[in-house]
Amino acid sequence: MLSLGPLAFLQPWLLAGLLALPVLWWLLRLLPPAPKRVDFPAIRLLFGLESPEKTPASAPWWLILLRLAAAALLILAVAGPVLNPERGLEGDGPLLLVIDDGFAAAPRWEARQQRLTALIEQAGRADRPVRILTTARRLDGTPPEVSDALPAARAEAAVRSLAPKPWPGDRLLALAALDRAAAEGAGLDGPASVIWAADGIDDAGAADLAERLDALGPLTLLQPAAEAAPVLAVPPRAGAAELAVTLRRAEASAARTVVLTARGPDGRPLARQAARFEAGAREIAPVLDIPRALRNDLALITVEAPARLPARLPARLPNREAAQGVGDETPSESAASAPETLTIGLGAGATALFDERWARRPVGIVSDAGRDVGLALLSEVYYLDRALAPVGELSRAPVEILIRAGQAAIFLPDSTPLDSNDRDRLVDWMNGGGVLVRFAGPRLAQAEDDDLTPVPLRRGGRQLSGALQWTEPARIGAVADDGPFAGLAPRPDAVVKRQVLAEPSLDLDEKTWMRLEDDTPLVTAEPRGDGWLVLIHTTANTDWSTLAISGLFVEMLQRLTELGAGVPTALPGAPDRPIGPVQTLDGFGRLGEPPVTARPIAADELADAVVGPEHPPGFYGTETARQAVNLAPQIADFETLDVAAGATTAGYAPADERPLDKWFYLAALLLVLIDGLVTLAMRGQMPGLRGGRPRARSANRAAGGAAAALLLGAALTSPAGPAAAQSDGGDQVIGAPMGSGAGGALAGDDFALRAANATTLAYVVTGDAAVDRVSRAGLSGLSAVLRRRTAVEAAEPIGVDVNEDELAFFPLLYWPVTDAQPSLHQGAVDRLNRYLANGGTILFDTRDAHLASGRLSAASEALQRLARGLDAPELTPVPPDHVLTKSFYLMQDFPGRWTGDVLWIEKPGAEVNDGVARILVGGADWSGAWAVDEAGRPLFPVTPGGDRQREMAYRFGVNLVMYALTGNYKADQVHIPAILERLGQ
Amino acid sequence: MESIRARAESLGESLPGLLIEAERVAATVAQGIHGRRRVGMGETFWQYRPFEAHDAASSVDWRRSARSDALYVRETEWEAAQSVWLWADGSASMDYASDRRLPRKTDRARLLLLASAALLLRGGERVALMGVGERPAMGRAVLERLSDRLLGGAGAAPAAEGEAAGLPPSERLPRGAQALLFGDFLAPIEAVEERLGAFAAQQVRGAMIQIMDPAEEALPFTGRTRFLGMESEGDLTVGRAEALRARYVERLTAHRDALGAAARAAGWRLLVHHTDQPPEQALLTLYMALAHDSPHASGVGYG
Repeated sequence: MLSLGPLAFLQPWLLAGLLALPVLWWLLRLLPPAPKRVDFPAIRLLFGLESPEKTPASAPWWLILLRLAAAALLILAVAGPVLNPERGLEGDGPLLLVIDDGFAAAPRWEARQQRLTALIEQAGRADRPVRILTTARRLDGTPPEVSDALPAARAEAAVRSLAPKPWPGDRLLALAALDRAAAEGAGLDGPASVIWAADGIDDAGAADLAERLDALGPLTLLQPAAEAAPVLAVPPRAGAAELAVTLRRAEASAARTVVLTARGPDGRPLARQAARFEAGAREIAPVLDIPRALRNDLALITVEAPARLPARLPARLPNREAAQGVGDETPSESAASAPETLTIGLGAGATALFDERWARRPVGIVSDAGRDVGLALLSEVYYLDRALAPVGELSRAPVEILIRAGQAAIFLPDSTPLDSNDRDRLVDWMNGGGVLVRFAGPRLAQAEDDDLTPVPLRRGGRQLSGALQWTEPARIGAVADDGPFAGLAPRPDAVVKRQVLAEPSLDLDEKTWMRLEDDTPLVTAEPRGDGWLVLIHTTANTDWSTLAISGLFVEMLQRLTELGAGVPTALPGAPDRPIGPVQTLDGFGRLGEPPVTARPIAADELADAVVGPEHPPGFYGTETARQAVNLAPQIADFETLDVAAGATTAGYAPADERPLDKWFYLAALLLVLIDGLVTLAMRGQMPGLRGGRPRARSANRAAGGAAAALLLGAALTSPAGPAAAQSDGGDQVIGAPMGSGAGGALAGDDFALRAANATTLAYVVTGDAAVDRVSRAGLSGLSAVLRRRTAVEAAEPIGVDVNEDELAFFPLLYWPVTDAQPSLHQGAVDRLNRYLANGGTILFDTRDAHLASGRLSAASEALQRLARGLDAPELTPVPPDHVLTKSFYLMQDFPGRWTGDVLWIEKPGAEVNDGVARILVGGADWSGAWAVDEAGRPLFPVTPGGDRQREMAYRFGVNLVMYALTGNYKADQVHIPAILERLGQ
Repeated sequence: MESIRARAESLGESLPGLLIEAERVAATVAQGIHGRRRVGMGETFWQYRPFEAHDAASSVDWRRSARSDALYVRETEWEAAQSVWLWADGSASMDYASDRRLPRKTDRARLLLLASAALLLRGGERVALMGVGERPAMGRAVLERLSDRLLGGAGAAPAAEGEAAGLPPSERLPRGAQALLFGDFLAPIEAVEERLGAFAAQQVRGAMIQIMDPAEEALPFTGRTRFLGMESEGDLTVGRAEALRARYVERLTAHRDALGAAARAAGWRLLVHHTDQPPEQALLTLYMALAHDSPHASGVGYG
């Protein structure tokens, strides 16, 4: 292989062919281009006419250059050019592959496999055996082992069957395996190529392993690309108010954006949001904003890396959230779907599992239906019930039942009395993490030494407004910044008329979460054990304040509820009962059936269970009561793998090896093609370059034909002077000079407008210029006659191409039949049939009545050919009482330029198109009789002749147009006397 | 074959029957069926004229003369049919069309031959193909026989001598016969002159219709060209064909002038027809030439 920078040739010796180029140059200069061969009858006249000047015997220099370039490209292509050729494996001896297959190796696992496969193939080509060593414990929990020396095919299969494990790798184990293999003398002493496919994460044995591997042979370390670096997703504390997933990464040099996707238990995405690591940030905690109703469905949050980041995703970050490293979910559909399609899964470590502890937040209201008094709709329980309904599961029951069912928070209205047993239970429950929210009221205000309050209370409380007082009810004042109410805006509509007052004490200030305007506490709280005791110094109904009917009340209760820890669904059984896996994560972070090696965990050890082959991360318990075991919180150290010098570091992306030979071949072919075209053009054989001549010739022929027709007419009408006609007939131009709007040249709307703006006669463009000119002149003459004599304001006629143009505008189509006209294609036939079916009339004129009739002429054959496929009705000679004989003029025969021909018409009686014939066929060359020049003089003599014949021809035209326009109207007129007579009786 | 005859017939039908103007009474002019609108031998009454001194007494029409004092001679209309020999060049050089849209020269020559034969037959003349050895005949069946011979049907004409050279066969025609020759007449002018001279010696008159392709007229080729002769004249390679054009046209004109001169000298007419022109035109010119054959019209005519 010959390398020239990034370009290399697989068969460099073939480049010697380039030396032949000068020879080719010489040959090309020497050989004249091949002449074109022309048969020529009059060659006798050419003999002895050889041109005196020497013709250019050789091709021009640029053509030779072109050919040389083509030849050079061909030679280069044959030599097998390759861009960015793959470097070979270093060293010889066996190839040792050390593969990290812990959870951190999951991103882009397929790319790693492909890379490793390619390396194994290389080793296979060099006939080198392959040994494989993984670093994570296997599925069955056994430590990794160095494989036997495998042939390439088996090694490839082994690598293909590898999958990342949902637990961390342990390089100490790998090291031990190496030691064991060396002890067994497994041939690891000799020189070997060592490739370590690392996951990029450091651990305790990494440095030692690297050293050990380096000793075995040249070490190549494959490190993942930045976009495939692993990320850890640590779920928030169970029951936390905000869903803030802590994301950790090892490599922090560059900014990085990841996409968080919240999914339901069925894998359905609930929300998606981008989060951004700023450069240098190792850990961020973006808050996933999920609607509360969806949050209870949350089963897992996966973190994915966008393979190619949509450019505007970070740009749309609002400032406040950008500081937190949280991206807003992009509202636009395309941007939202872009991360979906272009993400790299980051594996089990980047998957946070959520069970009911994060979702369920049961709330209880202490209520004793038997002892509650008063009106139901004014009771505190009712207000609490309404305010708490959106917060979570709500139950109203006595204390004992509530505690047994497990609650996140218990609300105790003043109206419900407590006995001492309940108090003890509540205190215990609070110590265990419960939140008790108590409301003041008349009962509490009068109570003696009630110790179930966060602060000591003064008896009796205070009344701020009443019949005997002049003070105003107090409004809500300040809110403690560190309490749960931080950020709540006071509402002016919430006023407190009465409250209980706290005894002043040193710690009163820090126990106060909310105050009135005059600084007296409204909400006080005290931690009790793991839980909270909260007192609201007024009632839960409107007796003492309007707080309960303000929106503030709902927000306050909601925040208080979130103080409490989530409550797992209670599972029956002993505390150390085994809990089996329900669904576990695989190394890619996909939930699935647990492997057979997964073991149950004792219920009380669930929180401390170490993730490993026996306990893969996932859900444990039962389908209905699941507990999540997460991998990420157990990873303490998450650092970048940094291996000492001596190892060659590379990425997983394969070398971008591109064979270029096909491009060279293509370029050579292109040049040869150009050369061929140029040569053709130089020899004058390009078909496109000689278009002018035949056209001119056909025009000549047409003019000649017209002249012959004219001469013929002259000869027939005036036998005395044919010689004179011959002398001046040669160059006479037939037909009126064409104006700008020659028929058929109009297109689209122009055509439609012109055709539809007035009654327009149309003729079919046959392609024979002389015939078309006559048709146009003929219809012009007829239109003039129509304008002069009838109410039909006929516009200038239009030529239509039946193959292309829309026919619906024309009541009548004049169709001169020539045998040169090409057959109709199917679309045109369909259009004509539609035209006929919708009321169109076509007059076919074979123009051959002057020739012997009764025999099929060429025009008749052409007519047969053209009309093939047309929906032609049965034809009959025009009967003497036909409407056509009386639609304007009374006439019985229909002469054109010729007479004596029969006009065929659709058999009357057909009930289509109002009885108007669809097709008329004749051969009298009517357009020839109608044709006039600009001055209105007839262009052609009529045969046998006379003004009467021409007049009758015009009359036929008028009758025909009237017939096409008015239909059977005249037929009805004929019966009017009979109708009148009948009416009279 | 059917179609070319049909086309020839329909061409011919557009002209009235053609009566050859026979100037001289000759042995070839058989006693015919149609009057020649002039005094001569025949059965139909033509005119009475006053008796003149050289008239034989037996020619006096006594019945007419009895009605007046003068003597009258009864004259009849001359009824005669002319024999016309037809020939179309079938040599290889005629098998040529410079463009696919143009007919080959052979086709055009045969079409014109058949069309004029149809005209002549309708006019009552007798026609025969030259070089076949048949006697002139009349009637519609003759046309079919002609087309058979021409188009290679049953009983096609054997290749006559001189055919390869593109010259009419040196057949002995009856004195005073008419001949119509269709061909390109590109053979050396001496050969043509000699053949025409032979015809003139037999007092055979007629017309040559030179059928040319437009490419032969204009030499429209450019660039390096190898011209291939079609009658094994050899070939010629030229570097720039366009350089030859002017001199070629000059030479062609000279050739045609020489042809015209030879024709005039023999009392013939030369008509030139190009295949890109409609055949009707040529037929019309031919018609004019034959129907009104007058001495001043002999020479080159274009159609």
